[in-house]
Amino acid sequence: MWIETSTGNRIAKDAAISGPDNIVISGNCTIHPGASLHGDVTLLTPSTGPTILIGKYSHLNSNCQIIPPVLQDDKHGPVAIGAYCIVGHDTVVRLATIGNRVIIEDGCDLQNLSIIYDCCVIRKGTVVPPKMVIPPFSEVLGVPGTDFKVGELSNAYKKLIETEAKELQLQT
Amino acid sequence: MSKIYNDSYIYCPKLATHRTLDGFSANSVHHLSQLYFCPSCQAHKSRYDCYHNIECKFCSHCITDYSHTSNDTQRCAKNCFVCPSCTSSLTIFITDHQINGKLGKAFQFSCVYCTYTYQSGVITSPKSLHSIISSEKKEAQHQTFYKYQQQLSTASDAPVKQSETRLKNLSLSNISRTPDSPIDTLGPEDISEVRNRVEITTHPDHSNQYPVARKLTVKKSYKCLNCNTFLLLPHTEDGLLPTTNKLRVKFNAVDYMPSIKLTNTISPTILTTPPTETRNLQLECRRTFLINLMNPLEVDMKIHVGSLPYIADNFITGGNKLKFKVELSIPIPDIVIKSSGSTKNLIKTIPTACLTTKNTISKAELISRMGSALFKEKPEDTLDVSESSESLVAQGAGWSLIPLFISVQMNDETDTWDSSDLLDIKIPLYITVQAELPQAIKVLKLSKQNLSYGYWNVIDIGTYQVTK
Ligand SMILES: [Zn+2]
Ligand SMILES: [Zn+2]
Ligand SMILES: [Zn+2]
Ligand SMILES: [Zn+2]
Repeated sequence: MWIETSTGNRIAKDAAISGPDNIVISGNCTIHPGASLHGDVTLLTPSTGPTILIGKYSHLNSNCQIIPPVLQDDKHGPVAIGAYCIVGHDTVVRLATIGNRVIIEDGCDLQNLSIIYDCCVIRKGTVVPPKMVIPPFSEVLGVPGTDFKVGELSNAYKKLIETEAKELQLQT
Repeated sequence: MSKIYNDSYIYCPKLATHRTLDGFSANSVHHLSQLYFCPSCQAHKSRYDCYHNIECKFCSHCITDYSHTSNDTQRCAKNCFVCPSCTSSLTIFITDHQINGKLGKAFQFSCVYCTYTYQSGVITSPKSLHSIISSEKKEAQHQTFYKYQQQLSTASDAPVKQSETRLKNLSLSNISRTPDSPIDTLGPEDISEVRNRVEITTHPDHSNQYPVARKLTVKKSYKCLNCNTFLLLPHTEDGLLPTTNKLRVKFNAVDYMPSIKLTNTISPTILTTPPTETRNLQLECRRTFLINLMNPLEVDMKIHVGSLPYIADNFITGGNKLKFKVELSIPIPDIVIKSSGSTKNLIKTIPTACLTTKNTISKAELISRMGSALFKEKPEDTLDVSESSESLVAQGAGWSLIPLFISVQMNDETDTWDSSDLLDIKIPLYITVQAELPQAIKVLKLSKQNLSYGYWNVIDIGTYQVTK
């Protein structure tokens, strides 16, 4: 069920990857069944760089969606996901940047053009509103208007998230 | 073995000298990842055991550094506004207007997430958005007072007589003041603004709510309450981008204390069928669990795992818990966990019980560690758990596995067992650690020559059904 690349990426056969020429997946990533990467969008500013960039040792769980953010009408901007990132089941990513060592748990909705800095944990079911900036070492939970909260995440997570992502690769 | 998602907790006594367990509550236990380790006290510290100080504050949106402003500055002074009802960002549109022949501008704030909007009045002289909003807030207060005044002057001249007791009972409790809106007076300029104001739109749903300046993000340092040693200190030189996270000092508990996790015994069947966790404990039948211990130090760790002969009442919940006694025993309580040291290969540092067969690398490692034991006809457990055997312990780079025996007994033999007996079990283990001083502590030249500390680690094993 996996396609293994020479750089150690493992991509599920039924992961939906459109516009593969516009997608760069660094080494040792895992992309689970049903994950979808929308690389076939029109960019507002044509560029030679990738539309979707995924850093090394990142882990995209089943049925998550990576959609480049909308800049204007149906024109998009690129999306970059850092190294050692874990994107949960059914999570939708429409934001612009995710830093290195970020865990986004299951069922999150990361809305248009948000930015998540390094070393963050976004808890299950969180909605990150558009254009939100999540500073480094934050723990985020909840839905805006009801219980949205950005708290402090221990700096111990820098190492812990990296190990988590590497171990996940060995356990899948 | 996940150090982020696990059911292992460290007990934090209210007093550092207090070593007995009061029970398991959210206030008394923390995940290892949440704790600091004080190199001077040689003990773990939660945030509640620390002083903290704000070393740096900045706006996460415009990255303006506010570290050198007064303590009262808690919000961004630039054009960074958030929605008063959902705290999402507000976008600002500017529209041009003409008032009495003068050109002016109005500002429309809209929330990017919810339906909130705010329309400012027309401004004819340059003014910051902050002062526009604060003067409109003041204006609204003045209009409210004006309305009250009007009502008072049109009201009947004869005041309603209040009884004396009723007057005495009037309380001041409803008077409140929001700290973000100090009441101050209108200047002449503000008043002209009020007069020039034209009603453009109203916003009935949020009529009392004004855009709010964005809260600043802070970076804190933490110091041990007991001995004043820095446990965390961020770098805060001028010119350093506030979003960079360089640390001058960090003493995280995960770097000094072993990670502990309980797993079921490794069964050879995992090579053919996925392990289904049995959530049963059979009465009077010994069940073996494995304690997985991982050493984060660059030196070997000598560990003693202690426990009471049975689990105390307050660590078991469930309807009929008093009927049962849950006995514990640790046949090999003393072990040395080698440092994972220079082991570059991550797979070698994963305890056997946490390897899977789903991944080819993991499966190959599992086979190489377990060897022929996996292919024996039907061994009870692949780890030899005969009490005399040395092979009781499985070891690898930076980890060890030791068995833990659990058995459930009836407290009173005359009591009857029934199939609905569910027990929620937490296992307290007293861990003592001894090691040479790690380099990061050695350089502090403290009085202690070795690392030596003890603490309670509580493992939540979840709900088990007691079967006969
Ligand atoms: Zn505590
Ligand atoms: Zn201390
Ligand atoms: Zn700002
Ligand atoms: Zn809003």
